[in-house]
Formats: sequence, C-alpha cells, structure tokens
Amino acid sequence: MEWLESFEFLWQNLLQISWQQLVMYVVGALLIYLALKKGLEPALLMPMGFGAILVNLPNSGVINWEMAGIGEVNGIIEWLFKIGIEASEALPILLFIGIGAMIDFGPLLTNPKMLLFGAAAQFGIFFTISLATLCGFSIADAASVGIIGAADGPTSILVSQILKSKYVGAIAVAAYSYMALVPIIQPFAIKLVTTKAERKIRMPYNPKSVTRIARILFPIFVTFVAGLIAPSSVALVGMLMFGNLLRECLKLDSLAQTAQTSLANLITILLGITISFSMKAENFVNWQTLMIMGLGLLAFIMDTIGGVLFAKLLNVFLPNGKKINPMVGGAGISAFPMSARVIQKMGLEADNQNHLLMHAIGANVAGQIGSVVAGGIILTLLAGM
Amino acid sequence: MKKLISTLLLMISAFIFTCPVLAEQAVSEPTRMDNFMESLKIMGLGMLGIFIVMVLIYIIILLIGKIPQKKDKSDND
Repeated sequence: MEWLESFEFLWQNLLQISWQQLVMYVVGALLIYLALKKGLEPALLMPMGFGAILVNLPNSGVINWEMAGIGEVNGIIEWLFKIGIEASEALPILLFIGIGAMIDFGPLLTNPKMLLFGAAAQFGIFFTISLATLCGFSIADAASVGIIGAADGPTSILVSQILKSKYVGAIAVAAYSYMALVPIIQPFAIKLVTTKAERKIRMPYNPKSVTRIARILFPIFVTFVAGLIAPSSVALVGMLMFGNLLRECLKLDSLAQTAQTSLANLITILLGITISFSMKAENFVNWQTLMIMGLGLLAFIMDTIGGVLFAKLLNVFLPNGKKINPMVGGAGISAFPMSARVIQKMGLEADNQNHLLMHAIGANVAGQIGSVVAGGIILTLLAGM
Repeated sequence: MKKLISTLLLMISAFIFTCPVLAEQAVSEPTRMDNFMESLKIMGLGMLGIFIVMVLIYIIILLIGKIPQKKDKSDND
C-alpha cells in the first residue's frame, strides 16, 4: 500500500475542503449565474464569482502560500489586492476617471435644483450606519456597511478599505448586487411613500443650452468645493471630475475615449477578481455577512424614501403647476442610469404622457456627486473622532 | 403611509432583536448606545455637510451660467 501513498497528492487537497469553502463555491456559482443568466452587473459579479471560487480552493496558488524549501510564494490575487486596493485604493479611484469621462452633466447644469435630490437620497447611508451600530457593529464597520447606500461600488470599496473593515467582500457583493436590483427595489420603495396622484404629477422639461465654458468650469469648481469641505473626498471627486474634464475640454478626445473604454474595462476586469480576495470563506461565511446583506438592502430602500420624502417636503412650499413629481427625488441615488430609467418607466405607468427622464437624469448625475461627497464626509468625520 | 410605518417597524424590530444573537462580536450595552449616539451625530453633520456642498455647487452653476457666451457656435450645445 506504500505505492498508494505516492499518489496522495492527487486527493489531499480534496480532503481539505471545508464546509465554509463549499458554501463559497455555491456563492461564486450564484454570482456567475446572476451575472450571466440574469444580466445583473455582469462586469463585476462574474469576476467576483469566479474569484470567490479561486481564492477558496485549498492551498490556492492565487493567494500567498508557503513552499517547502523555498519560503513564501506570492499569489496573484493577494498581490493585486495589496497593491491595487490595500496600499492606495488605486483600482476603485482610477475607475472613477473612466466613470467621469462617461458622464454628461448637461441635464444637471440646465436644472441645478436636482442637486438637492442628489443630497437627500444619501439619507439611507446614515440611517443604516445608525441601525448597524444598534446591531453591534463598531462605528467604523457601521460606516463601512452604511456606505453601501452610496449605490456606488468603488466608493463602497474605498471607504470600507480605508476604515480597515474586515467586511469588504460582503460590502462589495451587496453594493454591486443591489445596484443591479434597482429596478426591483426602487418601485417597491417609491410605492410605499407615494400615491398614484403624486406619481402622475407632470414636470415639463424646458432645455436650456449649456456653454462649453460652463462644462469646463463645473468639474474644476466642484473639486474645489468638495475638497475644501471634505478633504477625504478629493481622491474620489477629483478623479471623477478629472475624467469629466477630459471629456468636456474637447481637446483630448483620444484620452477621453481611452478613459471611457480601455481604462474603465481594464480596471473593471482587475477590480472584480481582486475584490474576491476578501471573499475567503473564513471572512465571508458568518452571520455578519447576512446582516450586511440585510442592512445594505435597507440602505437602498431608505435612500429612495429619503429622496422621495424630500421632494414631497419641497412640494409643500411650491405652488400648483410647479410641483415636483416625488419620484424624481428617488432618482438622486448614484445608480446611473438605471435609476433614471426606472423613474421614467414608473412615470409612464402612472400617466402615459408623463416623461420624467431628463429630470431623473439630472437627479441621477447629482447622486453621483452626492455619493462621493458622502463617502468623503464620512471619512472626514470619522478621522476627527 | 401606514404600510410604510408598519414595514419599517417590522424591519427595525427584526434587526434589533436578532442582532444581539447573531453578532459574534457584540459590543457591551454602554458601548452600543455610545456608538448609536455617535452615529446620530454623524448623520446630522453628514447630511448637513452634503447639503451645504450641493447648495454651494448650485450657486456655482448659477454663477458660471452668467458667463457670457462666445459668438462662436461651437461653444454651445
């Protein structure tokens, strides 16, 4: 039977699989299924799902391991995580250049009062932070969980990583999953707090022209304002606005194209698979992950409710004929452009002549700014405590 | 509105009553309340800060909108 022992290497890893790792294989397969079959954020969920399987194979070579006689061998996913996320949060920050290059702030510049909804719809973040503290999370972990409500994957990863939360994996999965589920979550939340009559309110759209100088000055001034009030937001806001400036200056078309396409795609490929390092079974398979999933869902719901209720509050002071459709307030979350499309669809369901798209897009891009400002403010406030 | 209130109360109750059981690293009661009070302060300052930033950006948009347009039509959308 000694000859059999020389073949032990063929099955020794199989015998080391724990039940938690089996759970992670199921989680990974589920993420891949949701990405490919259901089309939920495939660019991130597919790499995260596959990465979850890679990092949970026993003695996986993608994470650092000890080789007898050689010493520690670096694993590629652990190396990418240490360099791309742990050291400097480079991957999510650089992705913002690409996101900024994709955004057209024109609808916001013609209708700047939508900025208020971009602020109000961040309420879910803070509501969830408070609830998470009642659930026993520390302030830093509660803030990391609450930032799921920013409805922005890079912001969620960045804030939770800076706060050294050990729930980065669960937070990333929750953020991207719920962003993809906005078409289900938002209608439910909006119908809880609005009547059909309110959803029928018409808002005529009168487009104004936006000068090129306004489009160029906007990202510069926004960076100044956000950076002076919340210095921790400079990395996120700055990269977002830098990408937007590349787009709007009209002198750097090839760079703007590269930022929107090659850069964004390259970082997206690496970000998804790198984040899976935080999805190792010992960190992911616990009750806190389930709580984070629940709290993250609540953050999205309360974001929507916060934006809608703020719009209803404004309507108290507005004359008839100038009222705001409260659903537009719900578009102030950062899930662009999905949230705007949801509001447009709900508007047409209530009244088939009611086109809310351009107002909703204005609120939606305001939400992009609001979410990164929220992330920066949270980091600034926690640094001061 | 009744539906909203009852849904919210149910969700919050579920969290508050199950969290102490589920949380492996449940903090002691005084620290939990301390953290909660701290979070309310973060909520107040945070929401105020976001609104202040957005109002300032609103004012900036109004001001840069007053910059005269050049006659060259390629500057306009």
